[in-house]
Parts: sequence; C-alpha cells; structure tokens
Amino acid sequence: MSHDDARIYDQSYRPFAGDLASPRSRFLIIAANELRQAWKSKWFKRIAWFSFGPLIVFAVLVVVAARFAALGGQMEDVWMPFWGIQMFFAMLMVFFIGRGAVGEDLRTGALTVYFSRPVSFMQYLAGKWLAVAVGVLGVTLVPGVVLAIFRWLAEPDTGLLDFLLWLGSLLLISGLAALCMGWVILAVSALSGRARAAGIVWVVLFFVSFGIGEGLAEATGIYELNALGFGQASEQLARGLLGGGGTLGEVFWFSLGQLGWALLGLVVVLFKLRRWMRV
Amino acid sequence: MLFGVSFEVQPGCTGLLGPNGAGKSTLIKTLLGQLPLRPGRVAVADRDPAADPLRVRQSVGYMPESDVYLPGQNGLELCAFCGQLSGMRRADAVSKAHEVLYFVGLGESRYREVDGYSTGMRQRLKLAGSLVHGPALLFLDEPTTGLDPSGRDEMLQLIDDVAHKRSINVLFSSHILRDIEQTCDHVVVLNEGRVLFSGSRNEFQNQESRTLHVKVKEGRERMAEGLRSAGFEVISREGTGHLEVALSEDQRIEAVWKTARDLGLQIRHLAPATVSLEQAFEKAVDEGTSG
Repeated sequence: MSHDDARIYDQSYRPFAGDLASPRSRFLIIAANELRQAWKSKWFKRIAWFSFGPLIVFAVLVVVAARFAALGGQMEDVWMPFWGIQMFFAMLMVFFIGRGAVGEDLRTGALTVYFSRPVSFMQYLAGKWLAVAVGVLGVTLVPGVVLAIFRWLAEPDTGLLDFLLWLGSLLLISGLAALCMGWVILAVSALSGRARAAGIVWVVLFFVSFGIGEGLAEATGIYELNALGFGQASEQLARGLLGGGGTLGEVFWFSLGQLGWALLGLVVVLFKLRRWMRV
Repeated sequence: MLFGVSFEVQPGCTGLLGPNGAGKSTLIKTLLGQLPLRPGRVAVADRDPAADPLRVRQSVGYMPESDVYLPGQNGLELCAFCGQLSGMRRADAVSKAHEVLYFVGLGESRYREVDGYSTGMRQRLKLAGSLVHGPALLFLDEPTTGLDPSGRDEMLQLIDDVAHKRSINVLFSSHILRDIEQTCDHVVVLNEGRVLFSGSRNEFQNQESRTLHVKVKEGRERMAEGLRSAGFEVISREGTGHLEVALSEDQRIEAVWKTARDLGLQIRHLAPATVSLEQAFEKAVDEGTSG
C-alpha cells in the first residue's frame, strides 16, 4: 500500500448551519481583532499597565495640594502635566495598535479578506480607527476620569458642576486626541506600507510636530501655533479646559489644530484606499 | 468588460473556463458586488449583489487567486476571524475554524503563524477561510495556482468533496482545463467577456465534437463506402471495429441513418466521439473569436 493510499481524510467538517449576524456591526469585530493582535505584544501590555502609574502619583499630588490649599497655599494645577504624560503613553499605544493597521493590509492583500466578506469600506475604516481610539481613550479618558473623581472627593471646595465640567472637558480633549492620533497613524501606516517603518515615522512625526509647533510659537510669539503639534495641542487644551488657564480662542485654535490633523490623515487614507471605496 | 453574459450556476461544481483576460475574475468580482454592473442584472442566492452586496457576500464564500493573509496571525485566528467577519459568533467561529482546518489538512499547523506557511498551506487556508461560515455558494478563483502536482491533486480532491459531499455549490474559475475536467459537472466558457457555452461538461464536450462513432452489425466496409459516397469523411478503426465519421457543418446525422437503411445495414452503435475538454475548449474559443 502506497503512502497516498493510506492517507486518512477527516470527514467531520459539516457546513455551518447556524444564524449569521447582521452585517451592520462588523467594525466592532475588526476593532476587537486589531486590539487582540496588539495585546500579543508584551511591550504593549507593559505600557498599558504603566500608563496607570502617573494616576497614582497625581492622586497623591491631589491630596497634597488639597492639604496645602487648606493651609492657605497654592500649587500649580495638576491637569496639564498629567495630560502631557498621558499623551506620551497614548503615543506609545497608538504605535503598537495602529502602525500596521492599513499598510500591512495593503502589503499582504488582506483587504481582499475584508471586502469579499460582508464588510463595507466605511465599516473597515471605522473598525481600524476605533481600535486606535480605544487605545488612546484607555490611557487618557479612563485615568483622567479616575483622577477627576479622586480630586472631587479630595477637594471639599469642588462642587458637582465643576466635576461635571471636568468630565465633559475630559471627553472632549480625549475624543479630539483619539480622532487626531487615530487618523494620523492610519495615514502614516497607509503611506509606509510596513509596520516597522510606519512606527518609526509615527514617533518622529509626533516629536517633530511638537518641536515645530513649540518652536514657531516661541519665534513668532503666536501662542496658538502650538496647535501644529498634535500632542502639544492636546496638552494645551487640557490646560485651557481643565486647568482654567486658557481663553476660548485658544481652545478653538487647539481644537482646530487637532481636527486639521485628523482631516489630513483621513484624506490620505481615503486616497491610498481609493480603489476599494466602492465596495 | 463583460458583454451579454447570461448563465445559471447549477448544483455541484461549475467550471468557469476562459483564457487569460477572458473576464473570469471580473465576473466573480461582479457577483460579489465589488464591481458595478451597468446595465444588467445578477442574482446570487436570490439577491442582487449591486443592491445588497453585504448580504450576498454573507451567503457566499470566496477564495481569491492572489496570496492574501493577515500578518501576525496563526491559521486558527485567521480562519476564525473570517468566520466572524461573515457574521458568526466568536465561539462558533473558533469551533468551526478548528473543524475546517482539519478538513483541509492544516489541523497540525493551525497554531503556526501564517507568515511561515508554504504556498500550498496558504491555498488550503484560503479555502478554509472561505468555507468556515458554511456558504451556499463558493467562488474559487484559480485555486490550484502555485501548487505542485501532489498539492494540486489534493486541492482538487477537496474541491470535489466540498461540491459533491458537503452540498456547497462551487463556481471554479480556472484556465487549467485538466482541473476543470477532473472536478466539474458543468462549465461556463468565457472569452473576451462573452459566454460561449453554459451547460453540462459532457454536453459541451459532445457539442464540440463533430465526429461520430458508428458500429454496424455486419458490412463495415460497405457502410464506409456508402458514407464516403454520401460525402462523409470516414476512417475505419480496425481495432475497435467502429467507423469514425467526421461531419462537416452542413452534414446532418440523419444522413448516416439513411445511408445504413439504403444499404440494408443495421446500426448497433452511434454516438458522438468524446473529445477532451481541451480540444472542445480550443474549438469553442477559436469559433468564438472568429465568429
């Protein structure tokens, strides 16, 4: 008996006969898959846990500040430095989740995997963006809300209205950060093709835009030019909305800066994926 | 471009035949709703892919020709993800992915990263991914591309199994005629965006045959002479005992019966000579191109 004759075929496969869900919520499956893949990296897990470290430090600072204030002293507001650190963690989270999101799909032909199944172009984009947004919100909004609750409890002078304003501001700032960082990393990924290259470009872009924004603002004396750096813009928004240190005009410009980055990223992604837009 | 394409996919395995550039992949993409159809109407599983592409794609499976995978995932994850994208619950998708990966012969390799799979393994994985959600109709675009002879045979056996034992209808696009001949019951022949033939494979091969095998009880040489006198081209096959009668375009089969009757001979066997699918295909394409 030859080897071929002795081959044993598994005959147990039977076509799936259960119900299939409506195609409307496929973006959630795409986002969950992206996060599951990112979670495989031990560095991603470490950064996710470390991102809650500053929360402990700033919680202690909030208690110290409350005691100090009771004694008649005044401390610098904690929101801006806290947000600056969390933005750094957000940049790292985005690095892990988004660097290969679109580029690797283009390189390996994975778009065919998506679009030969009940997934629309918009659901694909929404799923990819949502994964990055969850990462950003996880290290900005979640610890921010926890810190806000802690501060509300620690500071007897803070009323419910102040607390609700903090929550609204946190939602706005972190939402804008997620919008901006999400579309920018997807654009970088789509342009770079390979995850490694996209990761490097992303980190460089984050710091270079930061430097250019700050440099131009200092050179020209136009403070709003800080909006050119998307990390910086988010930090300044935190100062303006949470720390009470900014004008409405500044808030507008820093919001616009982030929306501009998001729009630029979206346009680049749409351009790179234009042949799939009809599906 | 496709022109005046009209056919129905029959139960079992239907081969979509055509030379490179005939429009096979375009047709499949149109059936998946990835390309618009203007004007025209297509129904896949009683749905219009142009109007409701997502529902259509939910009810079909598609194995693309090109190498496609999601980097960083193992076979099981990719297959389960395909199931989830098609609408399966995660638990169902994972369970079915195990099953279908064993079925295609990747059971032992299912936890290996797809990046390290060979071409043959990736072909099997693509088949598994297209089967995991239990589609009613399966589109296979050149499924044996890049496979060695034994890999090709195994892939064809799997396709045959799916089409004839698992009640999944298959539309199998290929330009390799031996693959189609081995697995398909029906064929659709495309050339330059037009359908040249649509029907059963035997019918296609017989239709393209203009040669008859004729056997008479006695008087084979008399019959041959009679047919030659009637204008037929006749070859007498000594070994088989039958005559090969070539029909020209204006000659009809009734003339063979009439010749036998006039000579007082009894016909025992008369049937179209079987031609290979390759011969039939070449003839159909030549006629289609010149016509």
